[in-house]
Amino acid sequence: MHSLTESLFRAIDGISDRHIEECAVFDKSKIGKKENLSFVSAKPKRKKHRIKKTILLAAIIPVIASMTLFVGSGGKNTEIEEIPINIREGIFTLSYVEVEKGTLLHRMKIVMVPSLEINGEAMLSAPEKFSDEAESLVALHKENGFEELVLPSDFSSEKWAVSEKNFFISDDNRHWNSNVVLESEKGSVRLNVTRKFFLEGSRIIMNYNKPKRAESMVLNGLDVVIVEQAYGSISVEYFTRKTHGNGTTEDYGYSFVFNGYTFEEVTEIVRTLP
Amino acid sequence: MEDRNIIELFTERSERAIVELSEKYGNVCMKVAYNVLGNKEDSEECVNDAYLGVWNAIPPQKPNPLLTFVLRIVKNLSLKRLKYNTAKKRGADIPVCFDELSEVLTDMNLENSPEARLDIEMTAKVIDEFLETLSYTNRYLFVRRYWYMDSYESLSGETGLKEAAIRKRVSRMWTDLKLRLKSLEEGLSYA
Repeated sequence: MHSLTESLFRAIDGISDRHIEECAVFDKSKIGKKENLSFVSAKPKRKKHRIKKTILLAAIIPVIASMTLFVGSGGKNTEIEEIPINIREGIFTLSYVEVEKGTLLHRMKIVMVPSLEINGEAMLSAPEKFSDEAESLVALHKENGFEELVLPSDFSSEKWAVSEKNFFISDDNRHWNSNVVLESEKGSVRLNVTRKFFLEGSRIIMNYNKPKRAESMVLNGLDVVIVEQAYGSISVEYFTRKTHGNGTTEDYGYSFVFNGYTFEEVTEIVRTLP
Repeated sequence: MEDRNIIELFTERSERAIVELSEKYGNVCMKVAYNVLGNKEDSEECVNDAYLGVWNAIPPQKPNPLLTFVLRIVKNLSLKRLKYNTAKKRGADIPVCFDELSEVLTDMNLENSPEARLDIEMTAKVIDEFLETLSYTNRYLFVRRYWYMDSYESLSGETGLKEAAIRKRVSRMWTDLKLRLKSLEEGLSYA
């Protein structure tokens, strides 16, 4: 060790006891408020916080006349557009300009297309052969009143393989999420099914990022499908409401992310659902 | 157990004193020794020697705070052991933070000056005062890095900050400290 370096080392060694004692254990309670922010992120706050405020506000003020869904709450980027949805006789009518009412009047069913193959096995025809995750997925779809997953007929001509799958139910059983990625030569489809708890009287908030495009459609009254393009992928979000025997309602959201497909192709797929 | 109770046990020459001391400060002592030596066996030996040193020192001493008293003994013993190991080329490495200190001195154009010397006491005072000006987290990072000789990885794990962020913080602290050291004519003189 160089003597000068050693001198500096010795000098540091000679700092007062109080500093050494103070630093024996990292005490988070001593971190100042301003300093604490640096632990979260050096970036400025994003507008995500605005969304939270809106939800909170919406939760406090019951809005009977309007019922909205919460879409794309990830706070992904800058522009946020609120899309009010009015309830008229229990039917969602989107007042969003791009809504094409009546384009699809069929209730969207969650169907595992029999010809859809995973690792050479037809999915619904022999669910017992699938992984536990896939079985659970099918079971949950059925449990929630969706018998079938509808995919366009030409999908059946493609050979699909599962590249990723997981299934998650939270500890408190308040929400569940399943994720299956199917891949073919043409592209891949991620089936991401999430049960969401929407607040009665809340407002719909949608991230609207350019060059993202979005198209909303009404499906058989209560269901809403939104096709949106963002971050190089196309997603189809599907919302529905289930009424329980005791009259209470719950809203569910499902999303399908299409990779390798164009916005037009996906829109067409959704439009031409049987 | 409170420090004063442990000291009482030492004063009473109760062997329980070592057990209580080890239970309360054993981990941090091992950490300091290991940071210096990078070897578990040597570290354990140094810590045990330090306990013996405390046993011999109390009484008559009644150190307050007890922790730093023990840690200083552990660190001194560990450094001695390190010198011994290094001299005998027994595979011990100089702690990385020494290299960083050397770099600091190079930046100050002192490292290559054979006539330069550092008044240890005055420099310690400057560093002490400098530490007072820092936020708690920065002070923690500096003291842990250069007194406790923690690795950046370890600091990251404890504070939740990224390693790169810690390095940047430390670098900024040194920029400030170097100015203070340079401006200290009494503490930094040329023969």
